Amino acid sequence: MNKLIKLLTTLLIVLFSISACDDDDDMPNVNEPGSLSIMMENKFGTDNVNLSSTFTSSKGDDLTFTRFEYIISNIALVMEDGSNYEVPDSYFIMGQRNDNASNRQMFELSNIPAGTYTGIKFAVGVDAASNANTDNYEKGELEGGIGMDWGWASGYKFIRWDGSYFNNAENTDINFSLHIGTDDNYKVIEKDFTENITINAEMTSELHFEVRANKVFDVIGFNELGLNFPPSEPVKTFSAVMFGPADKASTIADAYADMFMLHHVNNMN
Amino acid sequence: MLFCLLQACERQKADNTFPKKLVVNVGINIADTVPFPKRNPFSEEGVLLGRMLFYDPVLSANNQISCATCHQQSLAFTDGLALSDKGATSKPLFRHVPALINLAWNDGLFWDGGAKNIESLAFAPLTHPDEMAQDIIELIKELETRLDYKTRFKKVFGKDTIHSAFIVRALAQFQRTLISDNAKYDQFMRKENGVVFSELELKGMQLFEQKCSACHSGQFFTDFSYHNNGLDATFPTEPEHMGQGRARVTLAPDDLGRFKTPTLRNVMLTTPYMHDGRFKTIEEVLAHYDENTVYSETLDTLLINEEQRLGIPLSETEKRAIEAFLYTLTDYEFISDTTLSNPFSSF
Repeated sequence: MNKLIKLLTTLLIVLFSISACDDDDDMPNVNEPGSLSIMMENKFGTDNVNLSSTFTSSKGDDLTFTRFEYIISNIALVMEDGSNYEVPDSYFIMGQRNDNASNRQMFELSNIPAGTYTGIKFAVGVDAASNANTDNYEKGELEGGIGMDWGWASGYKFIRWDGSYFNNAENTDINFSLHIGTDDNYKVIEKDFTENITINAEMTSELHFEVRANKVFDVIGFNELGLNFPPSEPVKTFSAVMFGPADKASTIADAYADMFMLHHVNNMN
Repeated sequence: MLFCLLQACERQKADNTFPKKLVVNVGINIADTVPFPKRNPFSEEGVLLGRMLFYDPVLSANNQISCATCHQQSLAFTDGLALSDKGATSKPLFRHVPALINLAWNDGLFWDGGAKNIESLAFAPLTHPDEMAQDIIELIKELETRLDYKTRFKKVFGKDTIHSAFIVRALAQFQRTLISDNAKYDQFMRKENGVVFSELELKGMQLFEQKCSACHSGQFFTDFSYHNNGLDATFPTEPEHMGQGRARVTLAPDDLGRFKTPTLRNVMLTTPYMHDGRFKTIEEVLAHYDENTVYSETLDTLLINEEQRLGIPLSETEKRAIEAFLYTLTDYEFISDTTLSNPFSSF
């Protein structure tokens, strides 16, 4: 008899599990995992960041981007009890690579356990463990050799903003490149939701961030810092790159950690 | 039961065939095993794929340059030039091509250790405009169109699409098999084949141990560390901080002018010498240590003796003996081993 019960239970579990593999015929309900869309709208002041406009910074620089990319990673959602749901392998390359590439401003997280969430954590950049080598494919969108990593010194570029600005002294456009990386400049950002959100298979949930790139240019004035930067470089370019002056890199990193503004949250049935 | 369920859910995985696990051997005087990162274990198919890629000019933008263009087996995987100009633009590079020998044991690569592992390193020569000048996305597309490669990648890495990580992992698997462990020196150390050292070689070995092995230490003939060996008094920022050595990567003032200790295995095949290939012969190198060592703040203290004399004093007889010993580090099997050579010539 005992054996028969065991056998029947096993059969039931098998049947149930098989149907769980099949997502067509199950009605979504409030206990089933849901998804969350995250919009990161790249802004410069009130304007949208694109690769054709000229933007004026609070320091008075007129600048244009030729590449505007950054890495968002390690997303965790804070649950009501204060614990975190860590989204596995969440690495995303955001922004725009060149004129022909589409402007990536949105990604979707799926299979999030049903529940009530009070906030979000994410990082700009790549955690030290994943930043130690650039031959990644297991980790979300991290891929080596496509311009978001360094070959000569292994690691990822957490932001890669290239472009030009108008240099007043020279009366001409000068290129700039902000390539910031290294473990010190990995920045974790935490945002509380103004109202808790509910995630499950029946809800549509979206977080809408404004990414205020102008914040970085509030602290870095190209004309103010001068033409040849770092000063030892004879080329007429402004480069605040990983191997550039470390204090400037960390100033920029502090600024990009501060550029995410949670604009609004959509959460409805 | 769990096993059954997994099978039911992932039916398409049932026909997976895994690559054959490969144990790479190394001479017992050197190490017990050949290390590899957990994410990239050796397989027979992986090493062969890496070997094909290493010798295939398809890896470069103009399809004319392969890894082997600058890393020739006959020269212990160097190119014999001070500063190579074999890249896409024919512009000389800023640093001397390093020999690819016993790389598996290195934890920092390039002359300044900037590359943290062999996998990540490959992106540098692949994409540098003066080297292979490749666009990785284009390379993946090109490899995808070649059925043979596509099939091999799938076999090794189990995925239908090629990722950039797979290219550099395969290359790294092959490069970790570039093991030199059968020079006359090794056979002498292992007491094989009745190999004996001449008197001069023995004297050279003794002198080497006294005067050179602080940095060129152990069976790898390198401490895998970075030293300022007194080549220059100043370390200019141009070009691209190349002359600053390890400081280029760490930004630490103490690392100015410190470069990685190269292995001396096959040193007689890997002329010229130093990070910029400034010395054409081993005589020049020994003369540098004997009498041309230059002072700077970061000069290695091993090169300053108690009377503040710089360098390593060496008599002419001592130099000849050390040279004789260095010749015993030439591994003729390594430079002729067909499992390391161009696979396309034998297909």
